[in-house]
Amino acid sequence: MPLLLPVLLAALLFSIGIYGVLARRNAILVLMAVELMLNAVNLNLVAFDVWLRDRLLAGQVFTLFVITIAAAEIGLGLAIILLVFRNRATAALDELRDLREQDLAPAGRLGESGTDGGTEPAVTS
Amino acid sequence: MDGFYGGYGLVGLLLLVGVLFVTVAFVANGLLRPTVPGGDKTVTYECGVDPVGEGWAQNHIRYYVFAYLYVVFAVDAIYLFPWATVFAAPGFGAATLVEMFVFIGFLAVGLLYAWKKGVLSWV
Amino acid sequence: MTIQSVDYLAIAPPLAVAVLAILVLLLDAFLPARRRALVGLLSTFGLVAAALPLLWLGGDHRRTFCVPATGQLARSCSYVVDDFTVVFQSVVLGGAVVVMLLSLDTLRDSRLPSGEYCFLLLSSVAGALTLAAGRDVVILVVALEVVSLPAFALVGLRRYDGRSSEAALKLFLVSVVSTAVMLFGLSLVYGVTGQVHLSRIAAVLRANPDLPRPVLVVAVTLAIAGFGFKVAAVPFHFWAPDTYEGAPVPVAAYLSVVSKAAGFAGLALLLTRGFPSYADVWAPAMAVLAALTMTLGNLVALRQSNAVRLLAWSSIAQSGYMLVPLGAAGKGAIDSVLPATVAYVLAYAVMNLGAFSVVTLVGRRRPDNLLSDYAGLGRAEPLPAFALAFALACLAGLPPGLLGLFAKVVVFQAPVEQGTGWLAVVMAINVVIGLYYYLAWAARLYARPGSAPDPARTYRVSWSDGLALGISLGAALWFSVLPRLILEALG
Repeated sequence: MPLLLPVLLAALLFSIGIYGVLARRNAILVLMAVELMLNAVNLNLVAFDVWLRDRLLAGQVFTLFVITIAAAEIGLGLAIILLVFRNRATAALDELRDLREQDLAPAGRLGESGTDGGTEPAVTS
Repeated sequence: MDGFYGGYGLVGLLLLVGVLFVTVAFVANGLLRPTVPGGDKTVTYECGVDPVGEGWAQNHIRYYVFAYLYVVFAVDAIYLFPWATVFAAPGFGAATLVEMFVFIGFLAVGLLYAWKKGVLSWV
Repeated sequence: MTIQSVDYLAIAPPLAVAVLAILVLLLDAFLPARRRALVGLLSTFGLVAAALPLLWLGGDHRRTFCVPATGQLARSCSYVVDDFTVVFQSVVLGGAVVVMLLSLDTLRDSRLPSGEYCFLLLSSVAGALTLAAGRDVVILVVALEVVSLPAFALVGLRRYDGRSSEAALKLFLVSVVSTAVMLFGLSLVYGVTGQVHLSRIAAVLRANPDLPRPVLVVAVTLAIAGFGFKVAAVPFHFWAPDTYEGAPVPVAAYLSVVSKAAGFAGLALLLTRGFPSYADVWAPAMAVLAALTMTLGNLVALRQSNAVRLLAWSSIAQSGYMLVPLGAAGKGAIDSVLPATVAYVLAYAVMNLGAFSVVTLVGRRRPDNLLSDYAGLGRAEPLPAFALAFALACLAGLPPGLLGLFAKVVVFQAPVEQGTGWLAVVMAINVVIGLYYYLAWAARLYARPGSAPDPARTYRVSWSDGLALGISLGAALWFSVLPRLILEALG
């Protein structure tokens, strides 16, 4: 079996998934993008398994475990998103800002330090 | 039309014919028919009954638990397939059978817990 | 093909914890509500009991779940118990016992469901124990997920607290994305080598230098990303402070000690056992990660006013130190860097648990857990204050805390010996930065409080908190007196 096409398809799926994770701001859509990435992994593993004619069928066994992991992640993930939605009435990731680096009044700090702490990616506004 | 991609080529050809057929039919239809827009024609036709409410419907979150239980069992069932291919082979036998029931037993514990916590009853 | 026998003594620790988890789940469902407190006690004693097989396993070399030799490839096993495994399993179980002890009061005083809490914690511990023994990619991935998935639920278990669910969502999303990235890398490794056992991957890579190198470089990089998240190395670190702050404090302790130790076990195993011949690729990457991690962690820690957030950033910085030996690994020096990492993980676990025990204790009276709440703790509660001060001295690596000093020296040797001097310099600068915030916090403990001490300042330390505190302080003192024990444990 030619290996190129399935592997190319898997890479494409994975890239779409990465794009989804980076571009989407709704938690459920991010979760769906992650599923795309995991399915790219499955496609890769099955294609390599057939191509290698693996006697131990390690690729297919691995795929079964990845499917299970994906299902467990989705179940738990939806439950957590539901929880966030119940508490905050939103599933938009940008609006979850209760926990983040606070700009503190000087008295609250350990002491006055001239060092700039740098910015924290993704959570600072 | 042979080799690994031969089969796919046939499928692709059929797909192309299908798309062409629909396109030609619709274009011909659009060219031939008279166009008189308005009134009741914009209403969604549902077997003679006037549509009620919005087209956007949400399922109740209660279904989530059942959908998830389905996924759990569907996913765990995939482990039965590789097992089913070997358990009757010589050298495996009773111990393999018992192992699978241990696995199913773990699933049953989860179901038992869900039942005891009242997740399975429809409120 | 016949059915294999399983070495049940070798898999006893994770098996015992997993069975205990199921038992706890059933007890929680069927015990009457007023007896639920038993569940926490049972879990604690069960964890201690699960550590007993380690006494027999120490110094032993056992392997199970093997595939027979084929062609040029030797027999290879998925589950191996060696010194590395025993040390990591001891860290995990010891950390889990302390976390469980700290959780007992939290469970009693809060609305957390105790049965679910214990079940999730035990499941996660079972995963961490398996991870330390896994020598095949599939087991490593599955075990890593078994560590992570219950941890998400633990963080979000305070169901009516929006901050808790927010913390869980952040942890969850970063984790699943990095898992997916790691899996893609591992699928490429499988595609190139055709193997999933670490020893066989290493053998194939060594025997066939003509394998497509760019694919493998990409694969190794992607695989590092997954574990980088687990240990909160810098590009993948930002979940840590938010999650630690939003989670119950014992859960934060669990994440920062047990789950991080498991992540380091996985990372070290994958790199040193699976890709030793690609050390020239991953070692520089780890060196850069280490430098970034410790620098950013320390600099941001300087600005914190919340004790848990400070510990979160400090644990990020400590992750940087733990990555240093891996960053210094050159070809041929793989075996010498592993004990250094393991030694630091062990020392870090002990001293961080000490700090988290006291922070949990203070958090019971002062849920905000600000650093200003610690002013004058030395007068109100001398023993916890001493424990915290000692743990902080250890984390800083200052002389009373010889454990931390010793661990830092061990880690420091690696880049010096392997000729990555710049990494040693970065680390030295960072240790100095770290001194500032650790010592500023320790000094607060003994400072004269500005206002008169209020009645809430007297903490009534319960037996479980006291025991947790005693265990972590005792271990820190013990290892400070006899630091060689850590290295000798690794042979």
